[in-house]
Amino acid sequence: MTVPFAWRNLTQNRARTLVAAAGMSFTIVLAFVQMGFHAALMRAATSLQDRLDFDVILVSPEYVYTRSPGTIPFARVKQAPSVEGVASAVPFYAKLGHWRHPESGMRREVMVLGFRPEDAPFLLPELRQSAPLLAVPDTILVDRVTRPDYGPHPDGMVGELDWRRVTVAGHYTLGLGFVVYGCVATSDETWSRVTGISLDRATFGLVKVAPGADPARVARRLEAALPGDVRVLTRAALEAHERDYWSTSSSFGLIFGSGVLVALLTTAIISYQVLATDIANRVREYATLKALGYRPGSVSLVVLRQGAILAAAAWLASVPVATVLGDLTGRATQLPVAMTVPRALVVLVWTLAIAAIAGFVATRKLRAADPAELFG
Amino acid sequence: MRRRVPLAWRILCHDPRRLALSVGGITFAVLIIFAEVGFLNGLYDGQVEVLDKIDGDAFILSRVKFSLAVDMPFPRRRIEQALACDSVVSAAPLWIAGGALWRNPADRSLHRMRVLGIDPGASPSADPEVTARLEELTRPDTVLVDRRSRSYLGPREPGVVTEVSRRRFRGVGTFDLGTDLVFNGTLVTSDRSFLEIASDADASPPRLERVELGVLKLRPGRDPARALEEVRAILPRDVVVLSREELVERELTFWKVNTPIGAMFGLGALMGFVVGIFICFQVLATEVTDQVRQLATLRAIGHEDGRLLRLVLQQAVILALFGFAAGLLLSELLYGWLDGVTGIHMRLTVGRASVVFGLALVMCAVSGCLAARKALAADPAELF
Repeated sequence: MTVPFAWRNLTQNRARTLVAAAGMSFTIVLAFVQMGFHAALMRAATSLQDRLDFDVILVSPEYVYTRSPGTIPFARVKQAPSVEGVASAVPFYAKLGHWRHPESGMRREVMVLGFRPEDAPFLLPELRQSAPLLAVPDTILVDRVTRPDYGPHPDGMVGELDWRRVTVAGHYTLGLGFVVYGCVATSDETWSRVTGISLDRATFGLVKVAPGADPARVARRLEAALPGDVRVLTRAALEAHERDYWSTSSSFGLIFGSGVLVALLTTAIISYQVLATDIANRVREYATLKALGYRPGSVSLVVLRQGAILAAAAWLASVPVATVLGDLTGRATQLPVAMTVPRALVVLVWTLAIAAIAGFVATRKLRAADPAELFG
Repeated sequence: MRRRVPLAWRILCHDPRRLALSVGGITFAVLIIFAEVGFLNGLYDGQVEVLDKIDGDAFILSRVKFSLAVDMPFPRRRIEQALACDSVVSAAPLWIAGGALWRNPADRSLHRMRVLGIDPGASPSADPEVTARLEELTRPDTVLVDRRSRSYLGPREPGVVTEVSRRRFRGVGTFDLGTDLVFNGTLVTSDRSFLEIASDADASPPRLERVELGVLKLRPGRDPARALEEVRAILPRDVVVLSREELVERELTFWKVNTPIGAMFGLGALMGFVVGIFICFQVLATEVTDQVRQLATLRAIGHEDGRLLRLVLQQAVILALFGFAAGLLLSELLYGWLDGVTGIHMRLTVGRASVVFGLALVMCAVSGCLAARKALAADPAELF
């Protein structure tokens, strides 16, 4: 085609094109925000597990999810290294406790993580480095991503965890998102004193497999070797379990999922409306092209191209806005809602697909119509 | 006076098929708003729903208990102390624990539930279904199960036998409560069974001397605010005494501050609203474009701009009315369905419906004004 009709159509009435693109951009930004929330939820689901150093994990048969993990006998953790393919196994402790706001005295829910300081089974170098500080009884490290309404927690401050006085020895950056808004890490000894639970019961057994060993096979061997009071899961199985819990069992999954659904639906409807209106407004022009001898296919192509340009422009405009918005929301809510490349691409594909469908539906009328009729 | 021609009405009815489509579009937008508003309110309602099942004017709770969803008990003695106050007619303990482990009797999967423990002899329950079963609850290892618990908890009808917190329990009845952000279901049991169900295998065992809520009934005819002051004056500082309204308010504030529900569903409702504006504008603009000659004729015979604007706005309002009416009827079905799937109480109150109606009107009015600009641009001379 020699004349770039699609482009000329769009530039003919710049104000209208701008309004159309702005309308589409608006809904795309909303879709990004909703998807950001949903992604934050899914990331939160495995936020703790992602930072723990293990290949295979021993959990309680009563394990429901991170907030309700149950316990296993410590003896199982000690038994694990005797199984072929296991390089090491260390106990890990986690339980919800409450942190006293140092000023208001109000309590806030925190996740209390416990481990032997010499193990520090984390993938966070910062936490591994600070772990030796926890050798002093009744000291804790505080997650910087703990929400501001938990109050200040500077180094050296004496705070109250459950009913025990503890000293802040340092900080690390973890962030458990929706699981719980605050988190502290401490030694196994202090953990036991704070929670009142004996160290004979561990929350998890974190197993590392020998180099070259297949975690799935080691997991099966552990399963066979250990009694029924533990469940053995690979990292992949545990993470799938967590995500499944959050997306289907908790109300959060439903809420956030429906948000994304409505947002994408809205994007589709608005995009369709914008394109269909534009096509309806130019019906005569298209009829003229037809009358001039352009084949129906090439007229449709103009419409499709125009829709694609508009959709791409709207998407392009919405990405920086959504990125900034995601950044601001992320800072305000301490949730990982930042824009990601895959998400941006998913929305681009969606918008283009909708534009194509809108163009296709709208041009069906054009294709069928007699040029003369269209002037009606 | 001469009877006016209901022009707006006639224009809309001119093409019934198109009218149906237009109303359908607006109904869709109204439904989105209904769903979002329903979720928003339903989730907040859910957090305090349990209080509706408790018969009390005021509540004693631990000073440090920051939400109804966390277990932070206080000494039971405070409840007896409160009884010493002349304005207090009755004071009943309520035990609550969030960590009951319910095994789905059908597929054996494990789930967390909330358990409420009541003293069958001094039940604070306001739920007739619970009250009717107090006798059965005095028997050991019996529970009442929330019918509206999430479906993956499995069968819960009377007679069901399953494991709760590592012990066999028998369901002897059901009641109607529903889920919230934290709990996917609730059990009611006697104080003695509560000790079994709430016992965590590891932590120190629960004791009946530690209760979650003290449920107070105040003497009728007394000023409630002053009665509460009296109770507060008697009790030590480790507990707070709140009226029902204060507790509800405090709890809702906690969830509003601590969850993005408001932002998320507010945003959702806004999306419905914007979709509505677009659809309604679309409908009216097409209408105006199609009738541009007729409109020009009206101007030519002396109709003023104001009348033309009114004409378009009238159409907008009619569409809003139809769209809202259809949306209202369909929302009934939608709410019933969502309610069943999620266990979240989707309640439609007159106030909430009015908010949606207001939004629908504004939505159509805005698009009416936008579309009317097109009508006003119709130059009589040019058109012929």
